[in-house]
Amino acid sequence: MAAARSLEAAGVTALVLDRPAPTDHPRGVPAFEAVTLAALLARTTSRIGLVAADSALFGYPYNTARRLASLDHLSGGRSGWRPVTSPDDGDEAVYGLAVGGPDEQRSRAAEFVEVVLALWDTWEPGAELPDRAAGNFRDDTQIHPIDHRSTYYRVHGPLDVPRCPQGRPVIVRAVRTPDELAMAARFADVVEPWCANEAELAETVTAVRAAAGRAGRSPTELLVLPALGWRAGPEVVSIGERDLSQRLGEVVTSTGADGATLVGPGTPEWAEALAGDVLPALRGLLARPRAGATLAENYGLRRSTETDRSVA
Amino acid sequence: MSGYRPGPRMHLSLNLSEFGRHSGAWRHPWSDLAGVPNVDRYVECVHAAERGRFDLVFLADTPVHAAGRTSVTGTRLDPLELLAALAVETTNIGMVATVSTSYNEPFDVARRGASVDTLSGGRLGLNYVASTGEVMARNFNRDAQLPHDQRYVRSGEFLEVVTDLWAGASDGVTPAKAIDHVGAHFTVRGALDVLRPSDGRPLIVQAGSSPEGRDLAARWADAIYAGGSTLERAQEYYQDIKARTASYGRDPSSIKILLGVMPFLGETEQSARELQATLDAYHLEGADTVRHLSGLLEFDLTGHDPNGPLPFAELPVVRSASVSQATLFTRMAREEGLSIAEVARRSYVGGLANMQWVVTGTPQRVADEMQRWFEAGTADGFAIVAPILPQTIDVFVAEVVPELQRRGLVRTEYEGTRAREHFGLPPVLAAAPATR
Repeated sequence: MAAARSLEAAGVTALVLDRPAPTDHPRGVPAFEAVTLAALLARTTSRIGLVAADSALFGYPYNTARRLASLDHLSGGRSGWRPVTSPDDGDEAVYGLAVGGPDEQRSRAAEFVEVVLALWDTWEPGAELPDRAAGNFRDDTQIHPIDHRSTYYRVHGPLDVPRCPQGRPVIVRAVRTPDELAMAARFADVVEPWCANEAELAETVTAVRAAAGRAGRSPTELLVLPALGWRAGPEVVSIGERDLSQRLGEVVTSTGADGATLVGPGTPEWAEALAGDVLPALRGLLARPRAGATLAENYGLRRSTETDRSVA
Repeated sequence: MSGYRPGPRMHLSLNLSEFGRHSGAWRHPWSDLAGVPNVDRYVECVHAAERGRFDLVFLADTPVHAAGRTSVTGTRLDPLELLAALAVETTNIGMVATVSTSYNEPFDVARRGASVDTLSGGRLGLNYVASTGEVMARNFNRDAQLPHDQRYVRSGEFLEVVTDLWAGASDGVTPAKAIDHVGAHFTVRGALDVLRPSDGRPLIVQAGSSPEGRDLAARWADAIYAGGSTLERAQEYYQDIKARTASYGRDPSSIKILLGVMPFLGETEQSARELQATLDAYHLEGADTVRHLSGLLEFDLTGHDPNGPLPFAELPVVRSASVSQATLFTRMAREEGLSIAEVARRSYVGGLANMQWVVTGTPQRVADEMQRWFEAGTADGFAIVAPILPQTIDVFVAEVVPELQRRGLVRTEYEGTRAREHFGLPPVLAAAPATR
């Protein structure tokens, strides 16, 4: 909680809450699930975006759509979804569902995301305008079912949660392979490439923008925020403050990225070290989130309002 | 009367909703329509309940869009997330979220439940509901809902899986143990990947009224939300649940029955009745009540003479979520000889209030009635189904609670900070489902 506030004060645009790997937690097992933790942080923060990982392979798309829509309401439009599209070890066993090889996983996840996007669009922007005098809380003619029936899912809709304050949560996608790149370019608002070096990163940034263009999207509809590792530790911090600031600037400029996603152990201690020791040196470079603005606005995203964008 | 008796003090729970449970509440000038869903309003209500030393607040949940004017009372946010947000604003009060056992994966509920329990310092309860309704089924890969008995088989299996997962979860010292569950509805092999809830598992809550639902509650529940519009029916239900609980080898006092009560509160009897009438009028104005009744009874009454009787012989057997209401209104119409128009009006105005206990009057009178019903052995406590929020809870905490405290019927201070502690229940560190 305190770490989230520190990162907010330090000017970070959004916090990404992943499904934590057990070894990353000092006590061996994480305490919190990402979306419910984000819901609590929505109450204790006021500007920072809250992006939560949630599966796009297991469970029901209807539940996922309402979870993330709920987070958007609770946070006043600061939510984001990182769809998890490949199984972690043991996922298939605890859900009793075999999701096949990479191709099947991709098509399952694509249909899942497609359903979630469609459900978020079931309430037109003016559907809920309570009219006390007329006795109408909302206009049911502006709320539409989706009647989705395809390979993996049958979902009638509409969603029971009203339209999100920011229309829909910001979709954040990590990209590690060319296959993931193609999918991300179709529907992600924020693409987060994971590359081994700067040259590879520069190529990937170009490839993401090209793929987005081929998918009919304009460059302002999507941000590229590459993952950059930063490990906390006295020796790194003591020499790294100015270095990191300088390196960030260099990497962003040389690769054509829009910023960066700083990754590490993700513990509160790590976050506090980042906020206290490193980010102050980046002051001039950070696009600080504004209070009262949505996450999409703080990212400067121009978002498509197309309702039936399909996901390949 | 003989049989099982409640303890010396009553437990209290508050049903949370956007404007209150009465469908006319949102049109009342007291209701602020800006920014719905309005989390601050929920915070205000939970703060009041905590000041009143309530055991619990409760969030219902039906994961389906209900079209029409009668459906604006519900909470339209994921209950576990809303409770996570409310947890950070409160310190003692227990908080119950409803989860559908029909349309969830048990592993997700175990993980999310453990997360919110830890976030709240052990204050979570989960109300396990076997969801009903064909429309809801269509949001979850089904063309129709499971048959009634199968829904309860699934609920029982769901409870087995989540409690086994929590029992095997790591406490931060001992590593997590995997479960190996293969059943009719779920296959779950593996270990929970988050910390174990602080009292072993969140409070188990149910709301069973059918024989299958009562058995499931008797086997598993720590607390039950009960309906009962007459004192006699509530007494029968109380004795039945306690007897069923004993038949599973459980201590009957380890299951707490919380009877729903809808209090319309006013400074005078007159102002309380006016509040009720005002809310009813808001709800009724411009409504097509006959169409509403047609929906409940699954039979088109719009072509029939509104001043004539219901066509009893032609009415179908209702199997949907509204089965209890359909039965109630058909019986009411027959026994009281009501016209279609009148039964339509009553079903529309009352809705759920027809199925539970309503008390209208001053705080003094509401306290008197609660004492009378409590001492008559109808319940171990009450679930306050507030017609309009925050007014009902504000008045209740300011005036009814102190009166009940003076009479020694409710606590004056919390004994603990965890949900199970409020009910005098010890931690559960191994899942051993009762059998008979």
